[in-house]
Amino acid sequence: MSCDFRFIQLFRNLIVVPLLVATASAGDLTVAVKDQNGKPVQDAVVYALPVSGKAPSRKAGGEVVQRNKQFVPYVSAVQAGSLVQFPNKDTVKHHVYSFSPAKKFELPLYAGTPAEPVLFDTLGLVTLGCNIHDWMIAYILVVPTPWFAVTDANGEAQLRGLPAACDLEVWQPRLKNSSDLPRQRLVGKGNPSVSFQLDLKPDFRLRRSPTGTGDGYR
Amino acid sequence: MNFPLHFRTFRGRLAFFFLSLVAVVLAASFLVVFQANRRHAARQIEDSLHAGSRIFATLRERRLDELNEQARLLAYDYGFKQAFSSSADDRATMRLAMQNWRDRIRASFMVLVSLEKQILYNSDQPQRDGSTFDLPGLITAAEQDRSLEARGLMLRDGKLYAVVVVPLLAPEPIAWICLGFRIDDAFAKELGALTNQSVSFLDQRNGPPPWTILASTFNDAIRPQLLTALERFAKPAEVTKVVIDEKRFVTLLERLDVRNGNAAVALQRNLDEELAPFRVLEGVLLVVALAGLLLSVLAVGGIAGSLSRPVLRLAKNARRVEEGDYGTGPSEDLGRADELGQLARSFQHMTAGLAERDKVRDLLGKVTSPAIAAELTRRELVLGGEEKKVTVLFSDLRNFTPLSEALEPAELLEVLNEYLTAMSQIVDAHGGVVDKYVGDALMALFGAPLEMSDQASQAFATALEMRAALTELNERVFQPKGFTVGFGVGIHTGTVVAGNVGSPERYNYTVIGDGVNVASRLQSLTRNPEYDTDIIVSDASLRESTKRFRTRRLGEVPVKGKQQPVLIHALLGPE
Repeated sequence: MSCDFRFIQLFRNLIVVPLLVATASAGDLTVAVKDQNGKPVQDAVVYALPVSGKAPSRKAGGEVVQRNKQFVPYVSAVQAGSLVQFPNKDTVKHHVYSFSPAKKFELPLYAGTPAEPVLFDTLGLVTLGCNIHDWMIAYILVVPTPWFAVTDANGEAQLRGLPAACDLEVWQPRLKNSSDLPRQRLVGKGNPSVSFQLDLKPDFRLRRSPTGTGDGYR
Repeated sequence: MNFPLHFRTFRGRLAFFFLSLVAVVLAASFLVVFQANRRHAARQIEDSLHAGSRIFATLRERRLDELNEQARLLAYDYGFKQAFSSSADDRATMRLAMQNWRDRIRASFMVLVSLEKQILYNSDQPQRDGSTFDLPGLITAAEQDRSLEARGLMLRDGKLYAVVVVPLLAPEPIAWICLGFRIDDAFAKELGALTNQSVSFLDQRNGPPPWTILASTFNDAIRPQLLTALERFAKPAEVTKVVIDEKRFVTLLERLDVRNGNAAVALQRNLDEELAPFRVLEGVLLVVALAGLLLSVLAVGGIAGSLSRPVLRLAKNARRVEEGDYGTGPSEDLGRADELGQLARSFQHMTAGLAERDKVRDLLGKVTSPAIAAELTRRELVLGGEEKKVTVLFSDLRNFTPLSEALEPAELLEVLNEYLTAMSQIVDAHGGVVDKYVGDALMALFGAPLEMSDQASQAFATALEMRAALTELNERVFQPKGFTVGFGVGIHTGTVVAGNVGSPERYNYTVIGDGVNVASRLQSLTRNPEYDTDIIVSDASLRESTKRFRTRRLGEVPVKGKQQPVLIHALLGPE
């Protein structure tokens, strides 16, 4: 999977933004993401790219937990250069890997939290898998900006402290055309909420092994 | 019965009828069995061909399942994924990994296709790497499948393959793995062995012939013939007969669901081999039928013979009876209890009855006269009579008393019988009838019961001949014993009543009337020496006579019961 990303400097900690660069702040924004049928879409990454200049670098640690033989969260995003931990909260071992060009790595059979976090320094999508549990899958989108969020069950994501002019982009695992991401430009204030409508494919995630616990899907 | 064929004998007709019946029944049953056999065989062959088709489908699906499972394993193989992810630098390792997997799975080919449907690695033909994949439809089908898999029969480079496509997952699809299993002669042979059929796979190209053979259980030498036969006669989904290598094959041609072309499978069974057990059955049946027919011939011959033989014997016996033979032959008992035995017994009784009647008639002829007996049997036997003009002849022996005293009774009876026999024969010879014997006396009638036109002359001739016969008898019989006998004869013609006289149980045919008395009287007159004659005839008789005789007039004599005296003559001899 290839994704087209822009490099912008941004802050990871949105709360401190108004304190530091109050004049540059464009404000907070709620982004609603819906599918072609108008239903709210969860697990969509929404991120903002400033129209002018680079986004500030606010590298912060990320975390993808393995719990109940699932990756949590299913979809996450990090700014390029971030370190991500993969703590194993299960009693069984996992073998986490990625063959994605943005980050190839593997954490062979381990329990607990590996000593070294994994550095994600290349923009793009990283698809995580587990060599022991075929159904385990998670996505980490490596973005060039500190302004990003993932939609909740209501299909909403909150972006705070956005610059005055920026482009919003959305990505979701089921997106039909992932080479040309939906994009909207925000200019000035007065855009407290923005909505996206995505063209999604059916959810074809693997059925979980019947010996596993849980709801048998995911 | 009205037979189109004419048989001279009942036996032949019976035999023909029953044998025809048996032959028709046997032929019909044989025909029915024959047809049922053929129908059954045809149905069985058809069923087995369809079963073969199902087995092929199952075998194909199982092989595809197997390939699919193995491909799925490969899709999750971490080492393979690692090799693939690092293949940009090391294509040789990747190719070896693929060949290794291809061999593990025993697939015919393995192709790794990019998500953009470009061939990344073609296991056996590296030269195709980088080109567009030639089975894009299969990838499209996999893309649309929920489990991202597709399978089917495909034609590739003029060969038929069972092909599966699965994604290489990391854990999302990063490429397509395409595995092909060739449907070749070995596969055809395996299927043929399983189903006991000939199996051939055909590339039908654009649909109508010419076609090519993809795989077959037939050897190369026969394949051109096979192809020609199939192209000419075989119709899809229909069971037809084709001749290959001088053998008849029942053929089922079924379209194969090939994604990228037209192909068919021809399932065939050797008809002659299939029919062999039925042929044996038919042969056995034919032998049984012929044996049955032969037995019928013997049985019918025997039955017909047992029917016709006694009938023939009865017919022969009937002929003998007709000829008057009532001996032991005609009265034989056939010794049977059936209808023919009854017939034989009835015939026996009838013969006995006939013999009895003949005996009675014979006896009647002896105790009466044959002519009277005939008259009695001819006419209805009733009492009563009719008036008739009859000439009555009476004869009586003279000097018989001393004879009867001198001879033993048996000897007497013997000479008497000899005398009477001679006299009776003479009466018979002249058409007269001996009416009765009274001791040595004899009464004969001329003109009764049968009409006689010259009754008087016949009576005269009789009397004269009797005289001559007596002379001869005297010389031959009586004189040797020391006696000479004479006789007296009286003849008269007159009207009498002739008929049956007596009671209804017992009666005689006789004549009653003056005429009889006159004749008797004339006979007794011969004793009179004055007349000097032994034959006295009445004038009435003399006038009645149509022939002339020498006579001597004796004069008139009174007769008791008659008012007119009777003129009498002595009969001397013929003129």
